Amino acid sequence: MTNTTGTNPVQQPLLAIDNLNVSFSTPRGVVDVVRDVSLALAPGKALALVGESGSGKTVTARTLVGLNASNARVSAGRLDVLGNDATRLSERQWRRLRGKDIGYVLQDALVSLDPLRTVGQEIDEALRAHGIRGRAERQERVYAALRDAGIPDPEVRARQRSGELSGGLRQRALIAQATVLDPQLVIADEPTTALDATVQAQILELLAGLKEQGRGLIFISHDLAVVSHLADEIAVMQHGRIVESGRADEVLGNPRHEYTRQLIDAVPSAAGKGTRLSAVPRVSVTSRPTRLSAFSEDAPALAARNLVKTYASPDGTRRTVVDDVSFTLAAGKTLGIVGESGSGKSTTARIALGLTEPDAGTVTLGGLPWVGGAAPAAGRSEGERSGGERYGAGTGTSRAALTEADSTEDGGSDRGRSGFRRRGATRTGGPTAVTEDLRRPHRPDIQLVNQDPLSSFDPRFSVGRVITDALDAGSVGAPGERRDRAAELLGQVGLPLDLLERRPLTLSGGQRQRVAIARALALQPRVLLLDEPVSALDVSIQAQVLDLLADLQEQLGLSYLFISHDLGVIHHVSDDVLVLKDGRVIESGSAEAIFTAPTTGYTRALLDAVPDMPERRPAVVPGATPSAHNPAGADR
Amino acid sequence: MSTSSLDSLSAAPRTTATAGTAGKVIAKRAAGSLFVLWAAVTLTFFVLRLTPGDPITAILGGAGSSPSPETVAAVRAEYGLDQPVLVQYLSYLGNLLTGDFGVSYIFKVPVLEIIGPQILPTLQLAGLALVFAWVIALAFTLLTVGRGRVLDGAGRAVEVFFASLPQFWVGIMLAVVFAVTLGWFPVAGNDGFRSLVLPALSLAVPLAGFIAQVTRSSFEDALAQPFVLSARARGLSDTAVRITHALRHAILPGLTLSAWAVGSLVSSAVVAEVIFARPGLGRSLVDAIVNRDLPITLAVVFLIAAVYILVNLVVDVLYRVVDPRTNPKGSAA
Repeated sequence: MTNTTGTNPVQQPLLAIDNLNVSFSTPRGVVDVVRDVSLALAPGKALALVGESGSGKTVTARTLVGLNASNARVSAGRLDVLGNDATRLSERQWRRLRGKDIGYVLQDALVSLDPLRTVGQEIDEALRAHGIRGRAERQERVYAALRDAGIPDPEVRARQRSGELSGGLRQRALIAQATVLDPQLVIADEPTTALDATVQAQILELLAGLKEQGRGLIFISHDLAVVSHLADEIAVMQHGRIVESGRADEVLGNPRHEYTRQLIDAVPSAAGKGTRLSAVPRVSVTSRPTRLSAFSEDAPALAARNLVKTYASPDGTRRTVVDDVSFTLAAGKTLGIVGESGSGKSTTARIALGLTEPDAGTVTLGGLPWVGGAAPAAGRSEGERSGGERYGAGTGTSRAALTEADSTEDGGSDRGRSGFRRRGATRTGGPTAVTEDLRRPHRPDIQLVNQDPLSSFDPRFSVGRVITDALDAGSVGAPGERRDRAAELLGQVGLPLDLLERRPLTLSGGQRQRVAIARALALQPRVLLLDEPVSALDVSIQAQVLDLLADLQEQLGLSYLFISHDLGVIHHVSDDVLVLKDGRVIESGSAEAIFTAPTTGYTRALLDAVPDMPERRPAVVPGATPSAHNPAGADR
Repeated sequence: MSTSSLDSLSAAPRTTATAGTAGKVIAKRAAGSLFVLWAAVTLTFFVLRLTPGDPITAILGGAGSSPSPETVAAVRAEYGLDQPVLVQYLSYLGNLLTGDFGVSYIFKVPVLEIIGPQILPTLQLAGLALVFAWVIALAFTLLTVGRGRVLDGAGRAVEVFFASLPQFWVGIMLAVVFAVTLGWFPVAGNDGFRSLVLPALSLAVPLAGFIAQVTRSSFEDALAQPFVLSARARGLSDTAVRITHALRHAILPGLTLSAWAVGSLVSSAVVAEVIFARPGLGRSLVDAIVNRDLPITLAVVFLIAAVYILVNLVVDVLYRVVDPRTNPKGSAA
């Protein structure tokens, strides 16, 4: 193990990089991905690489472990990694560094740990690869690594595979396999992306602990709030170059570069509510919906009452996934649904879409019975009545209103399942559930946009076909008209017309999400169910899509049911908020009330877990034109 | 035998395993197996009845002989062929339950006496062919996938070439080169392992092409997974990553394919058996069909179906060993 490689005198910089260039030779020529990047890192410090996808962050990070693709060409004025000239390291020498002196934590632990092997085997592999022979010693070190990563019962967890662990434990295990050999330098690529807020906070704490132990930490993130918590230094990358770098508080508090400012503005936050997040121009919708629909604009767009859904577990018991959930989405408003994974968000969404039949409870869509037991006539009147006592009219009293609505419907007693059954029976003389046949004519009224639009596109279809296909489903117009309508829809979501002929695969993430929105709009819906619509997007693209959704809502009068694990996003977009935990509604009310004065400990804990962005200091840089890129006059 | 019924048979327990207890799974599985056996025998029974011609002719020495009507009637009664078809079918099923496959029309001896000695040689042939096919396929995958465009392309081309080769042509070429010209292996016969190599290879080469194709694409997928990069970042060598991580993922689809392959190997063994003059079920089946020897045909079909079922069972177990995620008790393993 003692070799010229890997040994680094204490307090020497871990990294000293000058003018790093990485290019890839592809069949279409040489592509420069990283240009003139200079970085330095001292022990006990954290450096954040920030920028949108394709900016060269990941390639830079992989260069530091010598794991770029085989067609990569690396050159640098100086590429000092732990005292080694990394441009001259052989593959064998690199292998001695990897795992032992440099720990590399990839994004998304579910796919970054071998799903067929146990977590213990994965960690053990690092020990074996570096020649640690003793079986007992290795086992002890596996347990120690898991314990250090904050995993309570390592003996049990070591025998589980990544798929059997929760998101947080999985991420900890991933960090454990990278740090088991006590590396001086840890590189983490998006270590908290896609994690729930509370879990994210725990992982941030763990990473901060690594830093305190004197390790150097390089991490990549597009979440500036996360960055502000962990980083000592920030390097902002765009198109392969570092456009701005420096001390974290300097860069975030007093950004010098236009691009850095755009990134900061794009973060949805309390201060920016109701303002535009991006610099893209507003879309304008020229044609208003003309489709005839029984959808009533006076009734709530979507109202769910006492939804219950249970599933059978493998051991025969029944698990309640959605437990007495009620909500009202007022017409033209946005209702945000917040909750960690497993809180019942998705099942609630599927019930609202009429895709999953609830065990009990009803949903009305624009005043019409949509899901569940009420017969058409009774449902109609119920819908109109709920419309009168519209929930969440902007104050914090909506929970009370909700309870009131329930009790009037139930005759003041006996809520939940039994109440529902009785109601169905007394009102209609039989709990006839709304069937799909009855639903189908109204399906155009509610449409879905989900997190991963690509998987919902037929990859062989062109963008134009993806959209016209939706029109076909609604039997709208002649083929020529559909073509025109597809073009019009593309314009509505701010995409150029030449995209009509492209395949979805060739589009960027933001463009794909816009196509998904265009497709959802094709049949002129009244309600959009947005299930984590921006969770897979970079913060700047996320800002553009959120702005687009706001424009469309304003101009088309759409109502949004908006599901997200990102509380910043929810705060930005929502009029009302529903907090779910273990299938139950923990708290509901106006966004204002929930975010400023949460009444339950759970919501408070959720909010506390969200890393805040530091306050921006007034720009002191001469020549910085305030709000030049921000027509709506945002958060400054 | 339709492969679709087998696919559903092999797929069903894998998906339902998580939803039910072990006992339920086994019961379902046993019921499914019995159904496949029954369906195979029943279909064959009635299809053979539908083909033109009278089995009596076969029993009484073929089209050339001219037996007297009395003889015909006597034989008809002896073999139960004067009964309605449904009665014949039910009595056949009843006998089958007691392990009685009937008497061969041609050889006039119990069917088991004729095909019994053929079973082992055929299973040996099919088994060794499968082993060869996997060895060739894995060697190709490990050596060529992701090793640069030239090697990768060459590997791909050879796989397609192998997969498109007819078994009889491979058999003849192997016989000419390795038996006749080089004399390394016997030209024909059934005399120990050496006589098994060439017939097995002639069946293995096209199959290896198929297995390598599916293995290659899943191997490529596995190599592109982030966990491979994680393993490299732990300090593992490229070769170690291929063997300990990517290979395990890559063999899963090939494993499923193998269940189908063994069944089809048993029925396509006839090609190798004829070329290399080996005894075996395949030859018995072809002879029986040509001679309209109903009992033997039915027995061989029954055996092939049984092999299909057994192999599917084995593959299912193997699948769960390789991929513990499909095992409901995998967490305890």
